[in-house]
Amino acid sequence: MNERENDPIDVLRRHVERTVAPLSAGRRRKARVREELLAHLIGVYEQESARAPRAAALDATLRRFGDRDDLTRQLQASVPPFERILVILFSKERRMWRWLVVGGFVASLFGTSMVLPALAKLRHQADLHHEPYMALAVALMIGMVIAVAGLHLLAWGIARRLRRTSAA
Amino acid sequence: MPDIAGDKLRGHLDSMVLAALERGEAHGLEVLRRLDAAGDGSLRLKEGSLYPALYRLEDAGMVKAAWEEETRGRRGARRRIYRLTARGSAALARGRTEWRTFARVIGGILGGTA
Repeated sequence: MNERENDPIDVLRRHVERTVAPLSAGRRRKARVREELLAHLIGVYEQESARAPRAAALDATLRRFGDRDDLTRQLQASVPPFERILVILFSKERRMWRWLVVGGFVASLFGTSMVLPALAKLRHQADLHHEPYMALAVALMIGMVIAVAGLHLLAWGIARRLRRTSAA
Repeated sequence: MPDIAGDKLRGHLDSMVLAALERGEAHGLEVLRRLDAAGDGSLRLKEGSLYPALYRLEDAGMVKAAWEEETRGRRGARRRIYRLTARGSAALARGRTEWRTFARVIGGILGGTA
């Protein structure tokens, strides 16, 4: 281990980074949390190092701070839902699954907007002639294909997202 | 006096933080020091847990925060100074009323005094 890895402040900085990095939160919020938690840990370390050697002071500092995963969960819960949704939709590292979800959602809406009017017309036009009936049937089929494909994309995107989350 | 930790604290943390800030603006470490002093050293709060509570309170408009300008050797890492807002004072008053009711009712059931 080199000197920099041994530097207590760098150990604390890495601890903070591992706590904050997994958060689904805006860049500004994460930077704010990162800096504030680091300032807190450095303050605690200064207290602890006044009464114990370096390694013991570092251990005591991290013990006082609490479990990292638990803190990440608590911090995540403190992020407003609206911000979480925006981050999920617009963060770069999640681009692929995001577009699958958005595309799937739009396609399923579009498909449904073709299927529902066609179904309504079929129900209410008892005296259908051959040509309008065919047009409605075609609209119904195309709409159903688009809606099903959209739902499939939506499910695929969500599954991708869940796999990514569980892998992390 | 037995330690008070974990779940026993969780539901009251926001009100406790507001009460600590009622004594004047403070950064996180100072809030914890005030809580520890007021709790006679019996509180066993994981210090990191303070910050999600502060962020919740800030988003709810109950506290306001500003970065301190002096970093005093913390390698550029600044602390944020929190202060109670009018909404926070009102929430603290509600929290106190709820706590008195809770302590009276549960104290009556358990047979102790609040």
